[in-house]
Amino acid sequence: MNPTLLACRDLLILASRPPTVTQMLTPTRVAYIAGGLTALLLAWLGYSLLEKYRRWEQERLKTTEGLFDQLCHAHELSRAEKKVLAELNAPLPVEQWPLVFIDPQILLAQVRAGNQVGEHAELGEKLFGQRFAE
Amino acid sequence: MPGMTVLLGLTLPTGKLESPWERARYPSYALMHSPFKKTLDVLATSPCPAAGETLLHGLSAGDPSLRDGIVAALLRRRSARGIQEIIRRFESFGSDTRAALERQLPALSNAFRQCLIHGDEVLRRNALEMIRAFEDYSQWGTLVTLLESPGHPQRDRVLLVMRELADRLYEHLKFGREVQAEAAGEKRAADNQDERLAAGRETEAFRQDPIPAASRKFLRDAERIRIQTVSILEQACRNFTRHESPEVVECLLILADSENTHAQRALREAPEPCRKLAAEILRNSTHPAIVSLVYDGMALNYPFPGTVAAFELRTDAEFISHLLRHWPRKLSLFQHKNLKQVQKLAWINPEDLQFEIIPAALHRPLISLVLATSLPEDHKLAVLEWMVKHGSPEGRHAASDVLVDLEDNKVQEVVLEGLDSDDADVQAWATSQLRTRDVPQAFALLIQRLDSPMLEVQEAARRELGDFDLQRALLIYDHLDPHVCQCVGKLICKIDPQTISKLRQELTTTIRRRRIRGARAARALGLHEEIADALVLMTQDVDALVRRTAAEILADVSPAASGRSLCALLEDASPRVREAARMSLQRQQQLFGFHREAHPESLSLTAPSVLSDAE
Repeated sequence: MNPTLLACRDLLILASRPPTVTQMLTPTRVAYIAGGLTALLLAWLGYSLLEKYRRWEQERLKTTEGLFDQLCHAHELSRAEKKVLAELNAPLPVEQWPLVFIDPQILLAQVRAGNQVGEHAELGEKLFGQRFAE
Repeated sequence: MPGMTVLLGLTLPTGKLESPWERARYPSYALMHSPFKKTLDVLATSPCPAAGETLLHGLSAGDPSLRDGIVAALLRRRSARGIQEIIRRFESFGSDTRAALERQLPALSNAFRQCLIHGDEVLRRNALEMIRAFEDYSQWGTLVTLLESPGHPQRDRVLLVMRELADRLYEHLKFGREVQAEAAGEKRAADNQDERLAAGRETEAFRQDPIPAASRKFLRDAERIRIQTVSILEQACRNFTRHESPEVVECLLILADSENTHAQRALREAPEPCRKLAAEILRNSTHPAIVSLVYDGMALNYPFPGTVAAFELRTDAEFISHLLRHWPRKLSLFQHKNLKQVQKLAWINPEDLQFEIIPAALHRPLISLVLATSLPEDHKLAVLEWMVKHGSPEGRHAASDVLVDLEDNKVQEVVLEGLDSDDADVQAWATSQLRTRDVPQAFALLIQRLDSPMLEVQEAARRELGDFDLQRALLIYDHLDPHVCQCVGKLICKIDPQTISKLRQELTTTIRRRRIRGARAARALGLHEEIADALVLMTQDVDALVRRTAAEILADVSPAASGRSLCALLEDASPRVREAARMSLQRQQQLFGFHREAHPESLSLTAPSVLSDAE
C-alpha cells in the first residue's frame, strides 16, 4: 500500500465520522453565538420599547397636554416661553390650554394689562406673526 | 421691485411682508407663510378631540381676519361637528370666507343633508341658503324629501330654493359662461305687456336677488346634472299627492326639454291634479323655458300634454314675441300637422285686433302663422285686412297675395280704401295693386295719381304705367286720332320724364327710317317744340329726305327757333328740300306772322317779296 494513502487513511476515517457537539462548540463559536443572540435580544427589546414609546406618544397626542406640547414644538418655543404659556394657562382647565394658540386676545389681554409686556408681546408675534404686532 | 422673486411667471414677495400694503395685497400668501399656519396645520391634523374644540373656539371668538384659515382647518379635519358649526355661523362670514367654502362644496354636501333633515332652525335655514348660494344641485333629492314631509317648517323656503336652482341650471344649460354677466346686468322686463312685446325680450331675470360675484362660475357638467334632476322631479311628480307643490311641476317643465319622453310619460302618468297643474303652467308661465317648451312642442309628433291648448290660449307678450321671432321659414311636417289642430288663438280677436304692438319685422311671420292654423275664415280675413291697411310693406304684400286666393272682391275693396289712406306707403301700395287686382277704371285712377303730391304714389303710378312709353307711342301714333295723339304725348311725358331726351336720341339714331319716323311722331304727339333744336340739327343731315322731313316739321315750330335753318334750306342742293323749306316758311308766316329775327338777310326787303323771289 502507498505510504501516503496509509498516512491519510486515519484522517479519512476520522473525516467520515460526524463531529460531536463538544467538538463543534468551540469557545469562539460559543462567544459568537452568545453575542448574536444578545444582539437580537437587544434589538427586539429596543424595537419593543420604541413601539411602546410610539404608542404612548400616540396616546399622548390624543390628550390635551399632548396637543399643547405639539403646538409648542411646532412653534419651536423655548423652555422659558413654554413656561410663560404654562403660567398663563395655570388657572384654566386643561381643555382650554391650546386656546392661547388660536385666540390672540388672550396674549393681547396680558400685554394690555402690562404683565411681562416684553415676553408676551414677543410670544404673540411668534405665534401669530405680524398681525399680533399690529 | 426689491424683495420680489419671480417663480413660474408669478411675482411673489420674498421674506417677510414688511408693509400693511403688502400684507393686504397678498393675504393668502401672508397666511400661508405666517406662524399661525403652523397652529392650523397642527390643529387640522391632530387626533386630539380638543383640537376641534379649539378651532371652534377660534371660529366664534377669534380674530375675524383669521377666520378663513380656521374654516379651512375645520374642513380639513372632516369633523361633522366642525362642519355643522361652520354652517351655523355662515351668515357671519364675509365674501372671502364664503368663496373659500364654495370651493369646498363636496365636503359640505353631506353635512347639508344632515342639517336639513336633523338640524335646528338655524342650521336648516343656513343650509338652504348655502345650497342656494353655492348651487349645490346634488341636494335635489333631499329638497324633495323635505317637501314630502308633512308640515315642514321651512317649506316655503325650500320651494324658493328649488325654483332658484332650476332657474340657474336652465341658464347654465342655455347660456353657459355668458349667463352670469347677463343675469347680473339684466333688469326685470317691464310689467307693461306692450313694452315687453315691443322690446322683443325673451329672457327675464327670475332670481330674487342677483348672484354674488364670488359664485359666478361655469358649470361643466350641466347636462348630466339636468338629467339627474329631471329624473328626481319626474318621480316627485308621480308622488304629487305627497307634496302637492306646483313649484315641483314647474321645475320639471323648466328643465325637461320638449323631446324628453320620460318627462312626458311622467306627466301623463301623474295624478290628475298634477296633470291639471302642468297644463295650467304651460298656459300661464312666462318663464323662457316654458315658453320655448310650448313652441318647440308643436314641432314634435306627440307634443307634451296640454301644449296645443296652451298654444291656443296664451295671450302674453313673451309667448307671442317668441312665437313670431322664431317662426320658421318652412314648416316641418309635424309643425304643419300640429298647427292644423289649432282652432283659435286667444290673442286674435277680429273685433279688436291690437297688432300695433307687433314690430313690423314680425308681420310676415304673423301672416304665415295665421294661415298655418285652422282659424275661422273671418279671423283670417280680419288679420289679412288689418295687415293690408296697417302692416309693413312685406306684411302687406304677403297679405294681399293671400287675400286674392281667399276673396277677390275683398281685395278690390281694400285696395280702393287704400287709395284714400293718409299713409303714403299704403297709398303707394294701393296704387301698385290697381292693375294687378283688375280694379275698375284702373287706368284712369293711375293717370290721376301721376299728379299726386306724394312722391311714393307718383313713383308707384309711373311703375304701373311703365309700359306706356315712347317706344309704344312711336309704334302706334299713326293709327291714332290727332287729338288722341296729342293726349298721348302729354301722358308719356308725365309717365316718363325722360321722354324728351329719348326722343332726341331717336332723332340722332343712325337708321334713317327711325329718324324720320321719330320726327314725324314728335309732331303728331305735339312734342316738336320741345325738340326744336334736334329738328334744326336734322336740317343739316346728309340725307335729303331727312332734311326735307325736318323742313316740313319745322313749319309748326316758332320762327325764332327755326327760321334761320329754314332760310338756309332755301339754298339746299335738293329741289324737294328747297320746296319744303319754302312751304314751311309760308306756313310759319301764316301761323306766326313775319318775324324780323327769322329773316335777317331780308331786313331791307319785305317778307312777301323774299318768298316770291324764292318761287
